[in-house]
Amino acid sequence: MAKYQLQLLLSNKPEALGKLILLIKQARLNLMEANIKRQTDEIIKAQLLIEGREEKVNWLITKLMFFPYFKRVEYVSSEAT
Amino acid sequence: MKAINLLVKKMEEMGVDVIFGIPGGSNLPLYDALYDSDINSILMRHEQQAAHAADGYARVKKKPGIVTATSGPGATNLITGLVNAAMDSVPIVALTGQVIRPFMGTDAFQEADIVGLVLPHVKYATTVTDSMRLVKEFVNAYHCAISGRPGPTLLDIPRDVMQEDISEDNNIEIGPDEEFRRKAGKPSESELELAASLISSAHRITILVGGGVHFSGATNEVLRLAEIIGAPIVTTMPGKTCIPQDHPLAMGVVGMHGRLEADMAIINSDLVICVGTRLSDRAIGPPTEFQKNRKIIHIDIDASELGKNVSPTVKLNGDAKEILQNLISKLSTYKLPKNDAEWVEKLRELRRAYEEYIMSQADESRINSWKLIKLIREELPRSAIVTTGVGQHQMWAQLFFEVLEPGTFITSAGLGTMGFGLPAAFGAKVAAPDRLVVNIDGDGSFQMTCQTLSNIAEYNYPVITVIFDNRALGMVRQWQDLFYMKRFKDVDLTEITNFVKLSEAFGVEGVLAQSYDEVRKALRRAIRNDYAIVIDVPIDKNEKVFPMVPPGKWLAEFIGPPGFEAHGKISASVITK
Repeated sequence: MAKYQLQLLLSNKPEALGKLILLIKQARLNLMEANIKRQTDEIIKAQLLIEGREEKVNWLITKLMFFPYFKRVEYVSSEAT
Repeated sequence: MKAINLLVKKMEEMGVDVIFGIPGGSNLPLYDALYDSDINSILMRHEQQAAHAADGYARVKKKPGIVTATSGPGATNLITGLVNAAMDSVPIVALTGQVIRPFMGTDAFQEADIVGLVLPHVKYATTVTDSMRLVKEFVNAYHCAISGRPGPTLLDIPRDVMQEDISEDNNIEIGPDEEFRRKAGKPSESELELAASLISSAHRITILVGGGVHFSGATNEVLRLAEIIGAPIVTTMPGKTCIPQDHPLAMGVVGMHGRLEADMAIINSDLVICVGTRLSDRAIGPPTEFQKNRKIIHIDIDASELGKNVSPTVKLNGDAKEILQNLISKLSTYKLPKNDAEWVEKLRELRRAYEEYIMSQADESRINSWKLIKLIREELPRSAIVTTGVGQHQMWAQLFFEVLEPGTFITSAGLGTMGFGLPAAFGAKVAAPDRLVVNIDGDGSFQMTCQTLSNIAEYNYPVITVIFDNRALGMVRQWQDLFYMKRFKDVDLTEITNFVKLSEAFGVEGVLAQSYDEVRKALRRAIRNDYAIVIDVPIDKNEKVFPMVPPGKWLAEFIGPPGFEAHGKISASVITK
């Protein structure tokens, strides 16, 4: 188990945020912190701190880009727990 | 022009020719626009059936099936069909009406948050609140459904958005946004080299084919690779439709109710090349066992599937057809593997022995399900499309129905949706009116969506249905028999329902067939005269589907049919437990 910081750019739509939370749930990860800001009328920037298994975090990062709601997903840092 | 009229115009331009659905208060403007359109709208009897029909249509046409429903219950009735499509990676675009914008969020009459309800299971869903974006959102949703790994999308459209007047100029020439048609991945040269080198040095290679091969159109590449390296081909349930079973290397479906020779091809392998499959528990059993003692090359268009259930030795992300072409080309620079030809012959021997064994078990006093499946195959042309419901009959079809042409077997694999067969058959027939379509169904499954018979009669899309009628929820009954000490509870269905009369009430001929000869005659008559028929075939409710791997167990722990182990002609050397 480790903590991971991710940074995302996503559509400024409630569905996009909903999908993000649902995918975190599907990956069985714990959401510890979320910082969400509107960047433009169309884009939201989100910074997440999540906890869980590395392979699940990797799955989440890959799966997010399967959906058109998400423009960019970046892994920022990790910290063992 | 009204936004909805512009949308219908765009749909026509994009080649949409059929829409399955039911009108209601909130999607009436769509129907009003369809009134003047060339798009054929088909009035279904339930929205779930509309979604399954769109699913069957999409699998045959390899393009999105379009479905519509009104707000509230109309939209919620679509959910099972959309989740089914998601699980089997089938492209569908759903257009749901929604209450008008001022009423949204007020618990208005027939208001349901359909976007929130389907969000976990679709590739894209949104409520279109700006009429100027309606056409753009459809173009996006359509491309999203068919791009990369296919799947369902949904647009929720408030009635007043549909009715708003908008300018015609700036909406018609639009294409999808980049994120709605993301390009498939492409493996690096070094990943392809590694895969080729693994293949070159292996001795017992098996190719495992999933449903991804269907939408990729990669059947020829799979066969070519198998022929080059002499590898047996096994499939998942969705992959069954991709491989002609009369190919000498085809071993059939693997998994919980897999063919023995297919399971053995996996169990005895030292390398499995998995193509377009998510490697579900039903296909491979516990992943830890699957990846033990063998190397795995996993090819998939959805990068998130690579490593999700199984940790492959090599991950190749991208379109199956393109990757296999590159891999075949790469292999020409390697020493070809010496796949164990004796082993492959033993797998074939096992196949022959099992067939011989099962034939010897035929009880002439009643109809045996597996024999009935074979009879249906004998009567159908190679190009006939077969759909199934879900249950024992589906497993018998999986085990004994031989697909001879790619794309001719349609079933609900991932979600296991009872009632899928008949509406999916109807949708397939709409997509391919010149081909014969047969729905192999169970009595439990059939009763869940049998109103589709009304559509079959009304629109004159003749579909043949054969009901494997054991008056039971047979597969659940089998589990209660094997794993719940025969404590049968709520699995036996009443004898009261008369399927012949029921079919005739919907305008489709019904026949009770109590012998193979009667089934054959009814089938031939329907095929010859090209009309719809329901053939009700009573079977024994105690008949079970074997082989069966108990849930959570490794493929080698299969339960064979009674007496099979003692069958002298089975080569013991090939069965490795």
